[in-house]
Amino acid sequence: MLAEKPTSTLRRPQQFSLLILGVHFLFAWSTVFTQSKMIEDDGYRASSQYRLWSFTEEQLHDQRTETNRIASEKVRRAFNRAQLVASNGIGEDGTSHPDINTLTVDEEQRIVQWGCEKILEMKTILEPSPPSQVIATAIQYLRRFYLYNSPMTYHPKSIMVSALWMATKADHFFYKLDKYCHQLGVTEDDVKAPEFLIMQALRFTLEVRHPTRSLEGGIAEIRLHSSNLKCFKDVATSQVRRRIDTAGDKARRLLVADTQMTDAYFLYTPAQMWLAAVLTVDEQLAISYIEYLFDRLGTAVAPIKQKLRDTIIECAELTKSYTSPDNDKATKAELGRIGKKLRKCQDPEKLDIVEVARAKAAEKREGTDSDAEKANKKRKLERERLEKDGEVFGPDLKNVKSG
Amino acid sequence: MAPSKAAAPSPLRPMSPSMQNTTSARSPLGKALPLRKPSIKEAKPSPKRPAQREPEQSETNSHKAKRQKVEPDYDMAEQMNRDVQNKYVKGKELGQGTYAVVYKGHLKSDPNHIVAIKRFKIIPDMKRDFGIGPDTIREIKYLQELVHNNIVRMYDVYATKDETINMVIEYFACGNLEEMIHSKMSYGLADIKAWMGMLWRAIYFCHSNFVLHRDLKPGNLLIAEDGELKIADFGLARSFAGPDLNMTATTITLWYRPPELMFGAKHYSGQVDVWSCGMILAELLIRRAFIGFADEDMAAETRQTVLGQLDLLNQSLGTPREDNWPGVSKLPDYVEMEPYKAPAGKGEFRRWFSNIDDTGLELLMWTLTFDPRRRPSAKQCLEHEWWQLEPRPTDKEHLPRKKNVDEKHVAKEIGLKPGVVDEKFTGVARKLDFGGMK
Ligand SMILES: Nc1ncnc2c1ncn2[C@@H]1O[C@H](COP(=O)(O)OP(=O)(O)O)[C@@H](O)[C@H]1O
Ligand SMILES: [Mg+2]
Repeated sequence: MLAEKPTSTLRRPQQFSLLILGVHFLFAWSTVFTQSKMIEDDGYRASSQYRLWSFTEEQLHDQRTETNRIASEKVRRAFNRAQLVASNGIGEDGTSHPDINTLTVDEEQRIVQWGCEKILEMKTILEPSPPSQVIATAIQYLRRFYLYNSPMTYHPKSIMVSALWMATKADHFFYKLDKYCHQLGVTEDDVKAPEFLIMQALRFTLEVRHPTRSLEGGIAEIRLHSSNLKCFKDVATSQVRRRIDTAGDKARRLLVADTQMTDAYFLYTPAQMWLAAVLTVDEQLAISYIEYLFDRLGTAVAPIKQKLRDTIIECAELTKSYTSPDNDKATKAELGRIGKKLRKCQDPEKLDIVEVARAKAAEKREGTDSDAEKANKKRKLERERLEKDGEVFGPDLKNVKSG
Repeated sequence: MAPSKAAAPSPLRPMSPSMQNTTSARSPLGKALPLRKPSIKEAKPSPKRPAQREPEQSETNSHKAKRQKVEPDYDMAEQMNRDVQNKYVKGKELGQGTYAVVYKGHLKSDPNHIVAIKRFKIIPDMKRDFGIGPDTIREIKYLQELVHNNIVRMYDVYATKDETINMVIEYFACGNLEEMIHSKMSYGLADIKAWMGMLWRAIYFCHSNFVLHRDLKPGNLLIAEDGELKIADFGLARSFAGPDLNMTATTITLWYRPPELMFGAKHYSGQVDVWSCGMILAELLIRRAFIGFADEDMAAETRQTVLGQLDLLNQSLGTPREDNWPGVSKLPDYVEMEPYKAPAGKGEFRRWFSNIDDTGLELLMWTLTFDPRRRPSAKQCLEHEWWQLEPRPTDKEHLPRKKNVDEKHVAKEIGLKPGVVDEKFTGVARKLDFGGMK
């Protein structure tokens, strides 16, 4: 099962050629125009994002199904274990607990999405506000984490603050830990305890290639060649400028928000994502640009034009499919339902990452904590647990801050 | 303030700056989550880089036997980590760095495939303030992405149960360029040219991938057994920041730090690394640091030592002014300094560096230009006409290098005088000979 599951991008049959196509396409294009971009796109194939975090839709689904299956089994066993211990103190008998209603893959995805939205919210809570790139990196860390972990094992609320913390370090936007914790209403242990789990799940790859970076280059190129674009025929220069700037701004906003909430990073290259974003905000402009590229590249590449267009349209559709739960009552209600369900199937042995970490650490260095400290911590933990239980998905971050 | 209790590799040299603007610690000591007990299970093919030598999955008999058992607490991420860890056997300690202890190791499946395992230390202060150290995170982040002949290759990374991160990298038995410079070995201009070419190619590659190294110095340039030079130590690296983001100015070991950083520039680019390269070229030529202000016991730097270094720079290269470096007085930490005259033409340089040809000297002076906008990029350095001139860079196989330390051990063990090894070596290396080059 797991051994047979290909995660390597090299084994993807159909979309592989498409992906290469996208890369190849911009590669050829940039040889014509800019040096720096050539290196970026060429380098993309060596990047960890391409090597380890690019999938077909099918592969992505298979991986999540597998993760869900393993986690569900584990939850059932854990409940079983707990029950047996409670009744007669005997260990596990190997059977599963049949009554536990575990989450489906789709439900897990909703919860992960909730975590991503919360990270986006942290941008407005933290002072100074982290750059969009740091936020985007954290969101992608979270998404990657849940490819190999289930929210039933580790709830996003315990992973997300830590993922963002790691993103600030990886992307060079440092906070003081105590300030960071204070602003988000979490403890320092909450932030540090899951770091190793996350590093492992990320397979020690910390770089995320964001489409916003390619977008800057792309917009510059569109500007440079605007006089050759069909959509700007007989349009005044000042208007052309304004339109390109507007498209760039809107595309940027889309890429740092909506795009983050989808599987786009797993399925498409940064070049495809930024083109899709431009397509979404100004279809005519994007199409004219693509037409122009292919005109420049000559008839030899004409056959791939339709494929590339399809890929980019697909990617744009994916981004559009996202609706923020704030705008949608039904989504919110659904989220509430899943939250209640999750509370009943959360792996009891992993409920509190900090506590698990502490227990393990205590095993190793016995006697580092005085008894009084231990009692104190325990009391604090109980209090926190109680607080958490009162919520659907844990406290709303904004409320925590103001409250 | 680099954690000062940790042993620096070379106490006589200034240390790499790191996290200089970090906070004092008030929080209780944090404990990261250790990994749970190992479980054995059918392994998922672990992530491998396409171009990398592929270590075989090892399979001892006992391993096979345990595999049959069903492991209830299966965790994919942990399993992947464990698979990686199980590929290697950790051996004896090779050396201590500021942030790491480096061990020798080898593939379980192939004891002849030697690797180095860099185990990041848990530095209590760092841990308390940051969790996993930013240096660790950065080094892993960039080495995962940068695959180049002249950049130390990272094969794998894994975490161990004791909450440390281990980085499996190429093993180097022939020391580094700093050791070379201070050894009794002789080398010539062709060798220097070869080393500088490899250094600049690596830096050009980094910059093309939008990464600044920010700690280039001879000690971080390792020599491989086949003579190839490899840049290591990406603990201070970062990607280029956009114009809206500040970067720290306290980076790059002082002797190799460009003046704009000493003046507190918050925006800079590849030219900072090029300055370090220039300093390295100068040091290779005269076999001691070109401009190195420090007391022997200097471990941590202060504003005083920075100004001392700057003053030395000014004495040699002339105090920068608005007319030769427009905008210099606007830099955040700019200070009015003792005015020294810039050397007129090549004359002064010629006296300091008598063993390099005119074209090479021009390149050197260009890389040591105060104004970063007039300093060359790594690409421009590689395109310089110096490379077309005689002497041609030495082929890497013929570059002087220390005998593989392991072979030396063997020599000792079988009773040979250590000198034998060295004699063999001197035959290969040429004496410093710059005749007819002036
Ligand atoms: N790849 C390697 N092969 C052999 N020895 C190494 C290797 N990397 C490091 N070392 C040894 O370990 C020491 C410390 O490593 P270094 O990477 O410089 O640590 P730090 O980043 O903490 O300065 C080096 O001075 C060297 O002696
Ligand atoms: Mg070092």
